[in-house]
Amino acid sequence: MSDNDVKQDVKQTVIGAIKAIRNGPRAMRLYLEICAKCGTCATACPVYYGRAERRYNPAERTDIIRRLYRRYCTLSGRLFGPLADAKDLDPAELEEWRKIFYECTGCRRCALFCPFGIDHSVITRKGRAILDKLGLTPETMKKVVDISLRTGNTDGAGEAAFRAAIEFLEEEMEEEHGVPIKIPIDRVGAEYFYVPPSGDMLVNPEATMGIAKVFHVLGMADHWTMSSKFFDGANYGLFTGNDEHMKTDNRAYVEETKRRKARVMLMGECGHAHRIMKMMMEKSRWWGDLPFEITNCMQWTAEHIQAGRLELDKSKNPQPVTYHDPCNFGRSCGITEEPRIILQASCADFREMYPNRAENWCCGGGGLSAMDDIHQFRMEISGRKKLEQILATGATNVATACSNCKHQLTQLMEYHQQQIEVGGVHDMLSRAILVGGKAAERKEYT
Amino acid sequence: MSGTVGGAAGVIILASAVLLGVRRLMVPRAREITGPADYLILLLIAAIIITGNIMRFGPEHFDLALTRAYFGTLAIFGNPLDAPALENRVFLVHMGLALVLILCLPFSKLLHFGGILFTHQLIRRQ
Ligand code: SF4
Ligand code: SF4
Repeated sequence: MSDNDVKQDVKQTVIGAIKAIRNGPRAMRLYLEICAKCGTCATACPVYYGRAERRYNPAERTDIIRRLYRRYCTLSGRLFGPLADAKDLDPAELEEWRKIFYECTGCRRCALFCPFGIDHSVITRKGRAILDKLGLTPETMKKVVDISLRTGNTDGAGEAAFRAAIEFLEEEMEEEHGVPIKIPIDRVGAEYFYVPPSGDMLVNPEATMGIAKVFHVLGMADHWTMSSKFFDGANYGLFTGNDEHMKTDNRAYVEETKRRKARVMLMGECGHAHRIMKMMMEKSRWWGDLPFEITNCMQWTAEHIQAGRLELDKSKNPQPVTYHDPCNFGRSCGITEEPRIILQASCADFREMYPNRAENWCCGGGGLSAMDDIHQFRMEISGRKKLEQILATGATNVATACSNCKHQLTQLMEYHQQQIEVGGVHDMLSRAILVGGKAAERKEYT
Repeated sequence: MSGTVGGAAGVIILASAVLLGVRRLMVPRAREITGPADYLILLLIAAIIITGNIMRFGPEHFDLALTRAYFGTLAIFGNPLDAPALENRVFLVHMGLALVLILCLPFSKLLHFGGILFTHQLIRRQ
């Protein structure tokens, strides 16, 4: 193929994808048709807060798609062109798209404040989907997707690494409490199948220890299991816009739950994983009827705390602790009270940051957290509001329930030289929960 | 009575349109995402309001009864061409622009006046 043919091909692909929007979801078309260009979303966006430039204005970013939609899908756009804010596709701009569409964290805060509920993350994802079709997804993201589809987890860890990590955690817990606390692997017929983000196995494993202790204390150590092959709910198809990848990755976990004959799929502290399972897969019935239910581990633990089945010693966490609502839990899944129940029971000095819950500001990472190539952008622009918010609480410890948030926040604290520890919700519980009447012997964590 | 209320409405709506325009020009986060179509539609609305106000407050007062007669003829599919309302040039402009606005409705972002009623509902369902 000559250069010209390639260009023609690229053009066809993009225009085809734009035209396909006409047959897609109604909401998407409305997002493109009714934006009043009032600029309200810009006040809600963490990226625009970090730097008030046209390029970072949500409505400007999505106008890239809107202009093409008008040009190729509406009569007025075809007839009046620029006068109707329509624009021809210029393939030379695709290189810029690769940056621009990866400058939105997908936090959906804009949708909450837009008078019409226009969700820029959905349009941005469309832009990424088009890039992905052309093979133009940024290398850092492509790598994670490839690894994840090949190995079943985004860290590319094999079974041996997983088993070593479990062994390490069991030793650790025995040391803390003086009694063996098990983490069952690959059991069939266990009631609960626990699906954490792999980060909570390999990077911040305390959360998984917390879960194991809860099962132990409830006398349910035999009623749960993890899988040596499927231990990462993270799903990067959501971030690259590739539905096929998202569904392939998702299906593997649904099948594994069936193989384990589990009654409950217990999702870990991972916002987007929970959202895909609960709000997308289950709701839209991707795989038909499910022989199991989907619950989050925070809902599960909070329920047992409220029922008085767990005892915790708050004095083990005397430092001021605040909670960062991951966007996917707070805004998209409505899981806001459960983490607070756990933290309030585990910490002596729990502090809210404002605003919080559904209105919480994004950490500035989201699906972009894995992208080291935009580290500076995440630290100085998209994460700026979060930093201010955390500092205002005076907390020395930020708990959050999402691997992406943890990664972003840890880097943010390092970058801005703040002595603030970042961890999970069950991490705090793990340090305070009483096992056989005794809390963990406090060692130096982190 | 209805004349006073109508007159006040004409002034208020003109002020609103002007304020909308000023906001669009002054607030950077709005200005930077504004395209030609956004300005055009605002100008169109302003022009309709201004011509309307000219008819009401202008030197040759325009009798509302004439429009009633005009629309009456339209409603019964009569010949409206010799309706006396059409002899007033300002009315012609006003009416013409209003028709353009109505024509634009389904093709422009003005759809938002309907969308606001149900997008939140629609989005929550998906
Ligand atoms: S707040 Fe909504 S209507 Fe206003 S510019 Fe943003 S997306 Fe468009
Ligand atoms: S999803 Fe979040 S980062 Fe993206 S435009 Fe909306 S508010 Fe900004």
